[in-house]
Amino acid sequence: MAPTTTTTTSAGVRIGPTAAGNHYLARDDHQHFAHSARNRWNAGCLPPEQFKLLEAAESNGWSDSRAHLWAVASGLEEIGTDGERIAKFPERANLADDWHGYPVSALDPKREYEHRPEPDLVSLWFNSGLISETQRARIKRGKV
Amino acid sequence: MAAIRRVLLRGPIEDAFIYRSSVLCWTYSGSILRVPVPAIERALARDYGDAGLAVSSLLFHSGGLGATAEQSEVWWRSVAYGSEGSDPGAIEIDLSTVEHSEHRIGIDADDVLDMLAYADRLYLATDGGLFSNELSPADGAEMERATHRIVSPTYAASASYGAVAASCGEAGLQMLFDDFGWSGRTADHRAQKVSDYSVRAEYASGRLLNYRSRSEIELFRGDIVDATAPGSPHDGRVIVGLEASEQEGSNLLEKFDSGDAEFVTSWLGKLVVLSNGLAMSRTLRRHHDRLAVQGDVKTIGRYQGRPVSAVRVRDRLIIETTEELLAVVPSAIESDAGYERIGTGLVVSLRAFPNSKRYRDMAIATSEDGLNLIGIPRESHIAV
Repeated sequence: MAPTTTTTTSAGVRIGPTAAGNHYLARDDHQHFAHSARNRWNAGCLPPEQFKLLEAAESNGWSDSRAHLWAVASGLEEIGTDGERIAKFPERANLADDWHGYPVSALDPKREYEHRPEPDLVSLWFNSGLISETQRARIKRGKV
Repeated sequence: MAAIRRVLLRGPIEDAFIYRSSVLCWTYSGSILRVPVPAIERALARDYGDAGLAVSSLLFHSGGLGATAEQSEVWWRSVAYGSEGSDPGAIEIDLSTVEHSEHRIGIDADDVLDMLAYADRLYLATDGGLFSNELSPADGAEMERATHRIVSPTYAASASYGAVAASCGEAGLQMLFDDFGWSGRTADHRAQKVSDYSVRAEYASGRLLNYRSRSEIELFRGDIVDATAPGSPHDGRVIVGLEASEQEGSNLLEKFDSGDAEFVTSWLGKLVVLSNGLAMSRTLRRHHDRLAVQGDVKTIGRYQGRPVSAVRVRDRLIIETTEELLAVVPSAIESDAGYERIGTGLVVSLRAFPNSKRYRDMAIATSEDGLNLIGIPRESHIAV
């Protein structure tokens, strides 16, 4: 496997490759320092941690029916500036594109379902010991 | 301010609903537990003596309805001698020590997302759709296999006037009209889609409020037909022909600074808006065939954190946030915080029963530890 490299681009930090040979672009407009209305990673979840979440999603097959990748940190740790605890990496238009991602919550205005992972994925996280029964139920009910 | 009483029924309970004389619990292992209320009362008396009797009176016998003479006497004594003013914290009983029956009803779904008991029928909203099941009056009776009513994932269900409103997210608001055949016609058990998007729905002042987001209301109106059979103890009014109202739901939110509304709900003739840490309400009224809000915006308390849901128990608003459960403190007796913590930790489901005669002084919330039965004493109790 090729060694992981980090480069700075005009859009943000590019990290990769993953085991599957893909790269992650940690876009500046989703970082904690951005003055943006977009969902932002918090200061405790910097691009290397974001890359680890993407790698976990990719290697464990945490993909939904629309080919978005999703991930959570162990114990459902907070990763976003607005209390978000779930990472979403939207489907790429082309397989050669870099992934990008951001933290989400089903409480985000008008994103009740768009920012709620599919039930099968939530069960996978529970079965792998990442989240508790209570956390599983709360995610499925759109409370996280 | 009356101290809130909390009983924790410790066990693997994900969701619950209180109906007639049973607590119906959905467990994490996918079964229904039917726990008779008298069995909980016996366990409370057994483990906590007078304190158990008193809290039973508050939780299960609003206004003393159906309470034993001993329960009522102990409750009023606890009020009169001031133990009411101190916070006794939660008292706890283990589910395994309370008589109950367990049932498997064949739900083909990953998880239950909402539950509702109405007119002797249990409805379960699940990620595999809406299921229903007849409820026998006998606590220990076997429960039959559930019927699959709606195929689309169903996130919330509510019922009134013989109709069930199933909120199916992107699959819309789906209605089961006259689901019990009260109108005299054979019940049509097929669902009708009346809106293309629904997060949850509520009946209020003769209207159906469909929430297209946590704070965006779409109004529907329908004709109410009274089909109550002569001498029948049941309310046989049914809603027919639901149609979108020309009235904009957003009109109801005027004066609330609703641009930042985090959660909106209706409750017993009030519209409640949570926004920027303030819990506010206005009165809902029907006026010239329109639903209107009137009077000034009243601040009923404050909250901290990101609200997820809210219910009212008499004059107290209980707010579930992403972190905890809060009871707002009415502004007339405002504390520094404007709320008090109930101490359940993270909540999975929160319900109240304002139309119940016996359970209207109670909210229930499931949390990591089990089912919390939360008693809210009336202010009139303290005036004694």
